[in-house]
Amino acid sequence: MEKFISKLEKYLLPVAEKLNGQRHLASLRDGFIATMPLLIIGAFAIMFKNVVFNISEGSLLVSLGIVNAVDPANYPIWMTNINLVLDNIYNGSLAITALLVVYTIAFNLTEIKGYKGVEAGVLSLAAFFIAVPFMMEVPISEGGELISVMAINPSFFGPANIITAILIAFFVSEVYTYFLKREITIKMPSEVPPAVGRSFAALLPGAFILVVIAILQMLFTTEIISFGTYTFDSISSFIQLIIGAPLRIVGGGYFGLMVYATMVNVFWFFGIHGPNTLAFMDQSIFSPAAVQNAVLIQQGIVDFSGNILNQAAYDNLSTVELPSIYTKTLVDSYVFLGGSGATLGLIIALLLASKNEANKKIAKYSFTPALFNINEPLLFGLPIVFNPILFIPFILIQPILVTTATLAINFGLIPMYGITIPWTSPVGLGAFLGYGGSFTAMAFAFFQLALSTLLYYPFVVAMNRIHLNKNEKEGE
Amino acid sequence: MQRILLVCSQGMSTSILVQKMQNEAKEQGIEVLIEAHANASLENQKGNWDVCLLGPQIRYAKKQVQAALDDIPTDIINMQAYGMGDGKAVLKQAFELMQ
Repeated sequence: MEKFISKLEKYLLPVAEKLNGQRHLASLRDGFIATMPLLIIGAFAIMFKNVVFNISEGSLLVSLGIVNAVDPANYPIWMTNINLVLDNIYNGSLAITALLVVYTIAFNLTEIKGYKGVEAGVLSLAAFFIAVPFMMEVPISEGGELISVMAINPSFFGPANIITAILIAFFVSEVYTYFLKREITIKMPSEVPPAVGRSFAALLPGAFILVVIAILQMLFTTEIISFGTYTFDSISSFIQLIIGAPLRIVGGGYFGLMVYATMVNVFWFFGIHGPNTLAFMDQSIFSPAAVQNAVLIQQGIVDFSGNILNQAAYDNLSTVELPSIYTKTLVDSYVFLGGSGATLGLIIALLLASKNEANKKIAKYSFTPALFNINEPLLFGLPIVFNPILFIPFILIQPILVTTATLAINFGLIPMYGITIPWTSPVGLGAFLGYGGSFTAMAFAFFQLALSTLLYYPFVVAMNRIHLNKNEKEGE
Repeated sequence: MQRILLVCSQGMSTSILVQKMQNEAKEQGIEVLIEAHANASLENQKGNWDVCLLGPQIRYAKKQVQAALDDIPTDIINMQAYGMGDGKAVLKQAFELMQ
């Protein structure tokens, strides 16, 4: 075992170093972190709309008799107005996820490369607008003939188009810093204030970027670039089909989530920050999936339980727009209970069964941060890191919890689609909020916690035995 | 005054440790500046610090951090002390490193 562990470490450490030091991945991480508050505010708006201010049969206000659901004409106006406010919040948050990250990622990558990020961020936003289609087909009347109008489908600003946003941000930042590094810029005399000088410095790289993206977009819209019968109305549609859809199919399913959940703990076992190291998986697949669920729920296409409310609209969704079971919300709600490795279960097992006073003390000290899913004290204090006794349960627990949650969803025991929640949400509360105010989801989170306690229990007993043996030997 | 920099990946759990170290320093009557910074934002920190301690979860980044800080004495925080938030032990580790 010890040999196996040290061998694995030799292999993993350089991988972690590469993944963490890689500038593009770091900019992706920081770019998404910057949008987190907005995404959580937007998700809360949708949660409130669906849980509190919902006017369908059996919802909270209807069952309390405050709103008469039988007669829509009698809906109080304040109710409609509150829902409009919530929709407006959604429009400025979740609905524009791709627009937000196209700026923040280009900004961060440029800053990491040692230049001011604002100019690159603005250029990136401009390039992104060129890369979406400005024409859209809409029916003249409901179910009527389709006509082309000049309009942008908001779907292109949302989570479905995040891959395009990431690629454009990378491209813009690379080109921009290339120009600056080689000083291919218009130089201003030194009397000119630096901010003015910088905006002139962005002229040449900016022109180059916009011309390149504009030509590429023209090649798609005029169908000069096409693949047999496949044509694309924009750079965005092309990237969604060629990269977004395969990524979603290969990485976004049960298998992808299993790899993510397992590897997070493999890295942690060697004392390397797992979620940070694998943030690129989370942020290109599992977090956008939760945002996309929120988009579809807000538009009334599906609900949290997985019912399709608008079949026609659902059938029109492309692969990258479909709702997904496998989201960051699933792992945050049902797997990362008290932190990676469901270590709140281990803390409870230690408090119940440990005969080692030092370990009990660490369990007590780790309890409060664990309520907010922070578990560094336990990982390094117990430690779990490099602890051969805990290797097996710590590595296996997340695949097990992912699987039980997936089964429960597929058997219809708990809601199907989760929306964005803060990863620091306490056990149970996260599931409640993420799955549309569902008490069954909350109960299931506690079931998962009990399961993890049970899985850690025998290993705590084993730790006791080793501790006692050691004490006896020392006593001799 | 001695200046101690703690570095980790986000500065979250390390900031708890900073607090504990500051309390410990106050108790011992030592005047010292302690801050926690994220690994990715060390560009402008050159010359600001006398000693640097890394959170154990980013020990692979030691060389990179040392390079960003002009080769000041740098070490990994003792794992157990980090986990338990043992301000006294980490403060001691920092001062030993400076000698």
